[in-house]
Amino acid sequence: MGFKIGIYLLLFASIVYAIYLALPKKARPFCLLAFSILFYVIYSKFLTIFLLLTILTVYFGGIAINKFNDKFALQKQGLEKEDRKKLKQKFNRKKFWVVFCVILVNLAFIGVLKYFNFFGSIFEGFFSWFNVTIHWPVLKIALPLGISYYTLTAIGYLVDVNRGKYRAGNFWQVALFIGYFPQLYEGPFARFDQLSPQLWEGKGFDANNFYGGLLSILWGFFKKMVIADRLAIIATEVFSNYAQYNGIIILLGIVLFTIQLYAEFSGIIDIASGVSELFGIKLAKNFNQPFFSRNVGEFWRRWHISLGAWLKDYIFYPVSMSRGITKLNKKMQKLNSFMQLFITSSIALLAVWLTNGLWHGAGAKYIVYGMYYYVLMLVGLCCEPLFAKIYKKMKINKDSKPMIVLSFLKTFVLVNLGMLIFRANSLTAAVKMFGGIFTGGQIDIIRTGIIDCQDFIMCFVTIAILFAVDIIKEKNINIKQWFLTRKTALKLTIVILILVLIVVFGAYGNGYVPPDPIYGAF
Amino acid sequence: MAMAMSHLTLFMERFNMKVKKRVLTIVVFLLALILVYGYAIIIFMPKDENDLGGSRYYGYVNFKYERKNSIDAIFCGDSNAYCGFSPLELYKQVGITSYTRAGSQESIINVETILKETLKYQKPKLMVMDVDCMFQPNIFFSGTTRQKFINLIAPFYFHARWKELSFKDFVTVPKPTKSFLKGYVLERNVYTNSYKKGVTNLSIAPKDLDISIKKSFNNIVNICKNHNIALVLVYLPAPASWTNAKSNAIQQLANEYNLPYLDLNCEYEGFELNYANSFYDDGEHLNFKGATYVTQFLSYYIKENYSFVINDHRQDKNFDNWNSLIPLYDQLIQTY
Repeated sequence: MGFKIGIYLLLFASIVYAIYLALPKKARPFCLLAFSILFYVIYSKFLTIFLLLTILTVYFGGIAINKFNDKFALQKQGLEKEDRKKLKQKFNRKKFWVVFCVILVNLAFIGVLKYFNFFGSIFEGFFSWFNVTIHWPVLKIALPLGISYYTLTAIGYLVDVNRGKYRAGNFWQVALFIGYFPQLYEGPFARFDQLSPQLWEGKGFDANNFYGGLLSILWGFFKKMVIADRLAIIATEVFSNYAQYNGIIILLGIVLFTIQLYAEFSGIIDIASGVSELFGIKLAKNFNQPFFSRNVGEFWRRWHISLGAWLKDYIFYPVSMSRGITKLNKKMQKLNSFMQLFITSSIALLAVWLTNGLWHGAGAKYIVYGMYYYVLMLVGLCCEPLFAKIYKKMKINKDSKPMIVLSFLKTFVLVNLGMLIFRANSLTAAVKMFGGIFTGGQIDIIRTGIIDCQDFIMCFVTIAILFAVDIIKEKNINIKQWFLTRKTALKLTIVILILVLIVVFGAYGNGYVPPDPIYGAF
Repeated sequence: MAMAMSHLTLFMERFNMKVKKRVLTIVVFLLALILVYGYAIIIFMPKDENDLGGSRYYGYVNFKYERKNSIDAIFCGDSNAYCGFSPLELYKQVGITSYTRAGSQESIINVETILKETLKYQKPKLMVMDVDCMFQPNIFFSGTTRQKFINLIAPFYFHARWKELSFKDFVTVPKPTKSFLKGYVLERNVYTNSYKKGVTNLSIAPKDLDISIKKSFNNIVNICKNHNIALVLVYLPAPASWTNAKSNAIQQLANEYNLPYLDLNCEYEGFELNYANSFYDDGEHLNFKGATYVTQFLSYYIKENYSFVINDHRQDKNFDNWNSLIPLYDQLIQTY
């Protein structure tokens, strides 16, 4: 599949774009909706039913909440404060059950389709301890496209409606919000109040949107086809046949996989954002130069931003504010505020990282992946006062340039260890690969035959370009703005130049095997 | 009124100037783009069979530069065929001239077209067809049309040549000449795999073949009959995609048309391919070791069964150009 999904998205979007512009303003959102469903049907065929069921359940859930809110507003008039409180509690309970049921139904879809076999293996394993053989049936069904993305997007929408952040939208608004085609493949997670008004604006042609979108699409393809797919040659081989390699080659495989994942995931997001920008619709930002993070907490605020924000809003806060935690907080009043914060945060963070791990995949290694970051976060939280004291005592300025660079490197090392767990074929493989780093062996990667010399050099040239662009962005220089203010001839020349670079140096066609997008499976 | 008219005329003149300027800019831009793209085609096209992608490209298009009616046998099929039949190996073994007329993902329908095209230049006495093409979906571009399309998209198709581009590529327009490997694509990679040969099992239901496939097959048989060409069906070793059902479908056709059929994926007397080192990918395409072995096996099969229609040309001075290629071919094989 690889870059094919990008090409497919682009070709599909070109047709939709032409039709979209030809239609009157009011009809444009419906055009987007119709083609979004068509996009899904072409890709997922009969599995589209699951997307439609999610849309329907969430739509009716939202409408029910609207009705309860309206009834409450009507009935509360003239009531005493105490009665009003009771009435509110009654309606809140009703709304809770609506939200609970809709979320349960949607989690059941994803649970069966994505996690059925995983839970089956746990079930079988558990009973095998007691020498009882249980045969859990194996479900052989493809996953509907982007189910992990649209399910969480839909849940977020309903929770926000329940929280009174905005009133539930009509059916068309909900359907287009959840099914909007550019974001279906790898996200980003959208918020109804940010995306829906843009979707229904029906914007026409705008030169800045056109060129801006085009630049994002090309930069996305460059990252995917020139950088990620070339790095995948080394990363895939090292992770698949790790037993054949040692020392520096395993280390190189892990580091290059981390950069591959970044280039690929951010590249596909850039393509989706660029396609959306053509229609004048801005998608949420998903990456913000993640390798310039001073700790793993910051890394997760810069990497897959929309997932982190979703987990914060719909897992961390609800758990932190839950009755159990509130009661626990009251009981811990004798402890100092740091300990109070540490204990409550550790419970909420456990839920966040468990969800994060499970979201990434159905397997023990993904849970360990989530727990790895959970432990890192807790250690960070625990050691923060200690490090502050050490810095103070040793008179180290942690904001000095060398210290900042060191903290970037520390985060990069920790992230790479996380990626090792994430990408390795199994947990055993991850442990063996980690051990393999510290053994000697072949250091000349060209001699191993994994990659030829020219491609190897190209890996580093393109990584340098990727990081150079990130440094420019980190310095708050807006490359897109600079591009948009150039003359048309220069803009077109730049577009053609990037296109030529992709065509010539892309790792596709004869001699290259296009890898499947890593986040596309979610 | 007059003043308004003069304003309007001035406005129209300025507007026309603007439009003209814009149109001119677009035309110049597009012309420059076409010129640059045309030059990119010249740069990226392989200049000979030694260049990346060159043997596959020139092996196919240079067929027409062979001396007329000098080819005794043709090998047809899809990519399995051009990786599996080595005409120079056949010549080396038994002195029979041959050419591999195969293309990537060619279906039986395309093989029929290629056969008709071949007969315009040559009068072969034998056609060996790899039957994997019977299970390929029909693609829009095939044969010569596909090669013409490849010419147009050369900067995309041969983009990986950026690694080997030299000054020669920027100043040389590719010229067609006789193909050295005669349509065979030599793959040197050795992909270690654990496949084993299959077991013939005629009790498995044969795979259904589409009417269009059967029709094309029937056409090929008729063309061969009309041109006195002996037709041999071969299923080259391809354990990744071979199945009993497919093989039985071919066996059924072979019985129906009374044609010889050699399934080299199963036990066959005297055929002992080393599966571990004979493929360049995961059990689909033969590398030079596999192709050499398969062609050697077929050489003796052809000699034994078709020597009454095909002569050994190794002592014939008219075929000196073939004789001169053998040392070069040996040298090429030995370098791997």
